[in-house]
Amino acid sequence: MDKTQIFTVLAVDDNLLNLKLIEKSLEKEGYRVLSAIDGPKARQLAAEEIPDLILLDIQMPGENGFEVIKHLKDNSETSTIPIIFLTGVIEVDSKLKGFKLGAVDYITKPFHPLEVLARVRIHLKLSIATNSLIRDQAQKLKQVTEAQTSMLPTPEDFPDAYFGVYYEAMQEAGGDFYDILKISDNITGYFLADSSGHDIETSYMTASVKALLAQNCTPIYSPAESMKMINDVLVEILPEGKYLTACYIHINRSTKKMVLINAGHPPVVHIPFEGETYLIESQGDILGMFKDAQFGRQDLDISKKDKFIVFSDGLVESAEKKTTWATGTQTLLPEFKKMRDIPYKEIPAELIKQIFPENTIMGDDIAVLCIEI
Amino acid sequence: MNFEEIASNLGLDEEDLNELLELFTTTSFADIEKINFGLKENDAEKVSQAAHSIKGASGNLGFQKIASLSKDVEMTAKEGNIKGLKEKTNIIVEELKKIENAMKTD
Repeated sequence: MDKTQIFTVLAVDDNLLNLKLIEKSLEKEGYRVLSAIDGPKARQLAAEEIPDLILLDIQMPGENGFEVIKHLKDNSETSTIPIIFLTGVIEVDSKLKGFKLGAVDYITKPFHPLEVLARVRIHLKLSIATNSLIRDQAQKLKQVTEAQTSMLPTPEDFPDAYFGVYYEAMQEAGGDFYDILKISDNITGYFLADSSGHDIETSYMTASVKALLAQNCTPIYSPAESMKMINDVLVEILPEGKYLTACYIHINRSTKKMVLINAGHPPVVHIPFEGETYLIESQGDILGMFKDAQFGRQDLDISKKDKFIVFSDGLVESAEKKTTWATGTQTLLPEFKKMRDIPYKEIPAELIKQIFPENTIMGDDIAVLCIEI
Repeated sequence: MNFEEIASNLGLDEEDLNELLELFTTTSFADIEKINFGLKENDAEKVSQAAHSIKGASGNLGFQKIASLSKDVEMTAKEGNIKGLKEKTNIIVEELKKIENAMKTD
């Protein structure tokens, strides 16, 4: 804490003597004091000066203290300023109401200036501690973001996997996740998932899923077996209500076979080198929720230069237009078709450019992978 | 009246206290006028509000007698019964004058 920092306290009381008494006592201890004799003036000063603390009398003619608290809490700029209210000794209801509205403490009247000082001091300390805690947590979240980003492989990490990617997390810990698995020289696994939630819990889940993929996506298991085992472990370890939608693509470039496992995830786009672009629709249970989950499965013969686009629902869903991926993907088919002649590494970013005009505020995490055979 | 003691009790110096006392007596006499006006006009609300103001200020400065008298006036007036409050108001005035006189001689 900066030693030269001067704290500002806003005192609100219709009684001039009390106001002066508070002012004198606090100024003596080095505080900067702003005074207001009624509610509207108090709100105006609070919004203009953003004091570090507010001392507020409840019983005032016109707008009373409760109304002032309500207004201050409704305004995002003033909502976090701690408020200590002044109230009569016997008024229990008033104390409860003050706390309910979000005040941090009260002082009974008649008050003693030294008590006012003591309470101001302790609540400023609390407020400083809380703010620094919030800063610490933001810092930790930033580390999580970095950790999570480092879990996402780049095309440079896997040159043989022939993929391009676009990834954007809305919050520090994104809910979207993808991974590339080198199963053998000719076989690569591509996994893309979208978890319910975007919080810290989700980021731990991301780490678990990555570990599970590494353990279970090996040459000895078929893609369906890999997903089943991952599902069974996730059912055990995920907190209630948490689950993933996921898509796992298993490509063998020597036999030209592809297996697609779909767990409640949006369809995958197939752009054949020769043939019409279409959606590979396959229904299936979500991942991590049911012990006996049945996933959608598609087996495909593939050719060199075929392209596949896998994406999370953030690409096609719009809360604004109330579209879900079921309808959203269909309407985007023309956009997918336009991607045919674009190099696979550029397709994810190009799609985003096409679908989201500049300055669009995205409502969800977005992950898009484009794979070329 | 020991102003030094009052000041140290409040954590203030005497200069600050003098300023506060001046403000206190001025506003309190103004409130007394409002009480008297309310009593004359049979306006119990006005009496109660003005007494509330004196109560708050005197209580915080530690003038217990004035605080307790003005509380009586406030509560009685709140019940709409303002008869017989004149006497109590006069005692408050006397107490305020005591403070004022002590300030002059101090």
